[in-house]
Amino acid sequence: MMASLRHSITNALRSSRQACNKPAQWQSLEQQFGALRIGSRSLSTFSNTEPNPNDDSPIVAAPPVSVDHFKLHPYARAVPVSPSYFTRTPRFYDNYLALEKLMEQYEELPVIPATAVERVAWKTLDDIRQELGEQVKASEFARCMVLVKRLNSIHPDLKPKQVKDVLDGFKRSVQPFTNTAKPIPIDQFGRACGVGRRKASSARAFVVEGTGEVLVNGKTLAEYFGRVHDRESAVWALRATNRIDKYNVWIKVEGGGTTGQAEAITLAIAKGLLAHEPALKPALRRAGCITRDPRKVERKKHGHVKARKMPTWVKR
Amino acid sequence: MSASNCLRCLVRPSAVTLAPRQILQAGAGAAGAGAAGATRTFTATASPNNQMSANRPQKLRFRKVKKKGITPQGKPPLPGERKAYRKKIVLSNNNALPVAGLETLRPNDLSKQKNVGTVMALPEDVVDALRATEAFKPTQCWGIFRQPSVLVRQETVDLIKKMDGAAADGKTLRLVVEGNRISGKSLMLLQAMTHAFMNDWVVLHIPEAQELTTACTEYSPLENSPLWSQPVYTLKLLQAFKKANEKVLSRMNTVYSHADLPQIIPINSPLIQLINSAKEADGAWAVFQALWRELNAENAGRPSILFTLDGLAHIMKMSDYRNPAFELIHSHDLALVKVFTDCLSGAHKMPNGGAVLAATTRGNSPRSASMELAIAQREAEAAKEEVIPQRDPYGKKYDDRVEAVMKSVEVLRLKGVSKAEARGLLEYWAASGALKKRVDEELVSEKWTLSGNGVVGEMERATLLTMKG
Amino acid sequence: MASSANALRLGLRTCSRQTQTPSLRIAAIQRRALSATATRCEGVPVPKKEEDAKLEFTRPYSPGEYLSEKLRSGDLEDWERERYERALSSWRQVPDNLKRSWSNMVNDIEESAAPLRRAVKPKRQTFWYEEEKDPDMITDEDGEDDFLENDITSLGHGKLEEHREFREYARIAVWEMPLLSKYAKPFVPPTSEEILRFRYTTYMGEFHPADRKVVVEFCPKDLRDLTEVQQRKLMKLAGPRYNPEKDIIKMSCEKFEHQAQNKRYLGDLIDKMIAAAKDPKDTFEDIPLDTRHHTFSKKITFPKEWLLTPERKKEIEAARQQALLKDAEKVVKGALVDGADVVKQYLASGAAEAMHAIPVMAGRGGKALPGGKGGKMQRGKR
Repeated sequence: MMASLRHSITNALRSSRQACNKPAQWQSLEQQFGALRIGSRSLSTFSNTEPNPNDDSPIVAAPPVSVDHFKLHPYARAVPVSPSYFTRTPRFYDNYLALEKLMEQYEELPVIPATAVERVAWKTLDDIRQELGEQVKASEFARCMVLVKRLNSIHPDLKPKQVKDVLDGFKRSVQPFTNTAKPIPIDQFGRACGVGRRKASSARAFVVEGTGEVLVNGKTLAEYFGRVHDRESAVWALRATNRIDKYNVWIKVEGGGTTGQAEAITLAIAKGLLAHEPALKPALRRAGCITRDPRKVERKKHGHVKARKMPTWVKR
Repeated sequence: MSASNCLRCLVRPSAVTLAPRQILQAGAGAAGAGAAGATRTFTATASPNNQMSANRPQKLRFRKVKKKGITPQGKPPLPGERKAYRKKIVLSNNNALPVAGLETLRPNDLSKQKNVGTVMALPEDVVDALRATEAFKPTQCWGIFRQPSVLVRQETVDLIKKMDGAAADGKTLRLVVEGNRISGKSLMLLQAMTHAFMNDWVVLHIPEAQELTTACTEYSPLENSPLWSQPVYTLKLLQAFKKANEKVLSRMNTVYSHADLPQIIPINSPLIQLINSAKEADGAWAVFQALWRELNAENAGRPSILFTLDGLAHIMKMSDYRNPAFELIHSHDLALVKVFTDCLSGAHKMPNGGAVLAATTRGNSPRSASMELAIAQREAEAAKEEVIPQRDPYGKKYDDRVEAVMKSVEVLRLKGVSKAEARGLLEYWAASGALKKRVDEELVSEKWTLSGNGVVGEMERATLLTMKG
Repeated sequence: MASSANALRLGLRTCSRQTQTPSLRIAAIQRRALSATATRCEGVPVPKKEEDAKLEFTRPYSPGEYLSEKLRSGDLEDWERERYERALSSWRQVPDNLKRSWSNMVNDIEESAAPLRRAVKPKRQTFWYEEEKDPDMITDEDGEDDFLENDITSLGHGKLEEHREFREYARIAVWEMPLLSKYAKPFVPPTSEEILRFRYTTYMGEFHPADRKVVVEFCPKDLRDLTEVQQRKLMKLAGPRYNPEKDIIKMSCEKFEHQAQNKRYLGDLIDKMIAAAKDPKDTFEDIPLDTRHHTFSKKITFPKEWLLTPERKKEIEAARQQALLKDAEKVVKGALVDGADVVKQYLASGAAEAMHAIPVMAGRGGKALPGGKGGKMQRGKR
């Protein structure tokens, strides 16, 4: 009788293994791995720190064990290395103590006013807890952060490297405040191109000095937007700053619906206008023309009729 | 401001006019109903059946409860009243402020260049005449201001000058007013009519071309002719014409004798008498023909004629009427329309000079490929462009008759007003109390931009018809 | 569940292992898709076993016949011969009825066992042979699933196989792909003679129904030997294949089985079209070019008048000056209208009270109210 399927698969596996189990293949393995190195990146699984066989130095399996390290302490009782060993959050306290020590050491250094200090994104309490794996208390963390901020306000030219290193441990790895927007250039014809988005729409507005004409996709404002409200919100950046008769705007807008397009244009014009007159930024911010509205259509979920709506409850 | 608003102004006119009688009737009705109800309850309690039922558990009477909910309060509007309310034209509003320094138009004012950008009031007799010709439309915002007034635009002055020039030479100005939505096309006709009325022209105006071609008025074939007459509409037109032009017509007498009319009109009888002879719809077309002949009489000291029509696209297509073979009748086969198209195409020459003006419309207007093409061609010709638009060789919607009619018309394209004109308009609005803002160049520029580079109607929408003030 | 699926995947992986890179190395061993025996290399002699020889089911011998035949064949040892002969003589002593009953019994067994030996034909009509019992999955052999500890598990084999495959491709990437650069050719732009641009599709060795398709594009203006009239005729002949915006004729063919055939067809077709375009009998000049199939995209550009040139700057400056002047002039003259002020003044002047005292019906027709200050301009409905 024929063997069962399972049996045959197992056999197949074994036989293929037999077929592959030729000594030549295993021997060439290392050579092949060696050959896989492409440029500086290596596909090899061996680490690069491995002793090179071409070197004349004898291959050492492991460094000789130093016994000194294991010597008994002269005292009868072993004392932990860290003074906070028996606390609940030893690593945090170590850090805290280090900060306190630095504070003591560098208290005399001049500080700059809080407004002049460069903005830093510090790690949050959750980040610290995650990182140290300790249940750090919020109040203690707050006290710690007071120290950190005080140390950070030391004049940057005089800040010792030691302090900088310690503070780096409290900074988030990604610093959003260091991001700077690319300045929008004004081309030879006096145009500044601002880009704005809202919902699914995106608009490019070429703002140029002029007499208050606006063209949206080649049409006038009234032809393009049927609603007066949409027209107003499209030129709101100009209107809020009383610049409506000072500039001409040529807009290309696509995607989304009328409201989205109109509000995308608001943002685009505001950015273009800022390229011409950067001093208008506070005014435009007050008018709500600078912030990109991040709201989008909420996705539909399974089990729901729409994003949130649930099917009606039916008895039985 | 709310205190000065009269709440009663907001009441339906029917409610106001009918109020005393209605209240009386309603009271009587209520009294009667109450009495009847009482007797019914009385008889009901008297019947032994009902007494027994009183002991039983009560049945739920859903129907009665429901009925109570929908009992109509008050009287429903009379037939046609709703439409009349919708189409009502209010030309004045006493709550609006009188504008200081508002000048009333004089006969030559509309052709003076210095008046461009100013708002001027229409004289009262002209307003009556314009109302008779139905030149005012319910969608125009006359009811916001104390007195009907118009803005003199550059285009107005140009048009009026052309009209005057043509009339002086005994020629006819044939022109189509074209433009975007609410850019003032109908108002341009109104201004032309105003000028004509003030200068003793004879004005014949067809306010809605669609009334002629959408098969909403009666029609009948004409004898010995492939044309179709529309007697009821013709009668209405004649009466409106008489009412509007009474002053001019009263000075004119007939130069031909008209024997084939319902009433025999001898030579040298008043023209009003000729029009009055159309008492019924049956003879209206004959009277209209006679009148048209009289108006076009040469060397009889007849005044110039202004013939205007609003909604040109409606007469530039197949009408909705059908002939006995159940084929659609072309609009140009309707007699009244043909009179106009003959004038527009220049086939009929007005011996006393005048103007034929037609305005296109963007609301509820059919697409007429030929008309659009002809307008584009005329514009290109006027601008002396090298490339004149041609028919799409594979387009099927073209109409030779339409293109023949519009072969040599002029086109006046209305765009937005200039900022100076917009300023005049805004100042008038502010002086009327409709715009409570300081009118300076900034505001003018803002409104001008919001209205798509000064489209008048859009400016009105953006300024007056939004609740922001 | 996921882990078991993964195990099955790995298990099947070894079985479904493809021939390694067929284009680059000729396979020495023909692999079977699902083998139950060990793969053997060519040239290695494999001892042939007697048991594997084809089993023949012929009519069964009676013991007497079998023994006498064996004796007759002769290649027997002495002790065998002696045993056979003894057995044969004892068989002969068996009574006839017993012999008969034995042969009957044998026949019965034969008949009842016949269907077992018959080859099973799959029923074509059924859906995926679902009605059939699967004898392969039901075995009563003991210990067949026991792991004998002399091998790694099938999962392990799968993993190894996967690893081998990765390495295979890595080897190709490092050793063989760089050699392809030998075949690299510099790009030479097509000359004015090469006006046809063909597009082919390849699915990298896989079969696909679309890989036979060939698309050709060309611009009619490139055909220098055609006059303008002939070029226009060519466009008209192409019909909806002509793109008036790009001025390109684009045609495709996939009606033949091979790419080359399709390409040949397109080439012939273009030749035919050119020949037809050159035909002076009918130049199609009376027929306009049909572009109904194409929607022209509207291009919008920044208005040139808006570009900020020195003249434009002056213009704007003048307009601004004028606007300022206009306002200033109005302020000086006291002619600047302020809507709010106007209303305030009017209300203060007392005219409003007078107006309020006599309410006016909006839209009231004809009759003026007694002492009506307004209502003059109001007419009823038309």
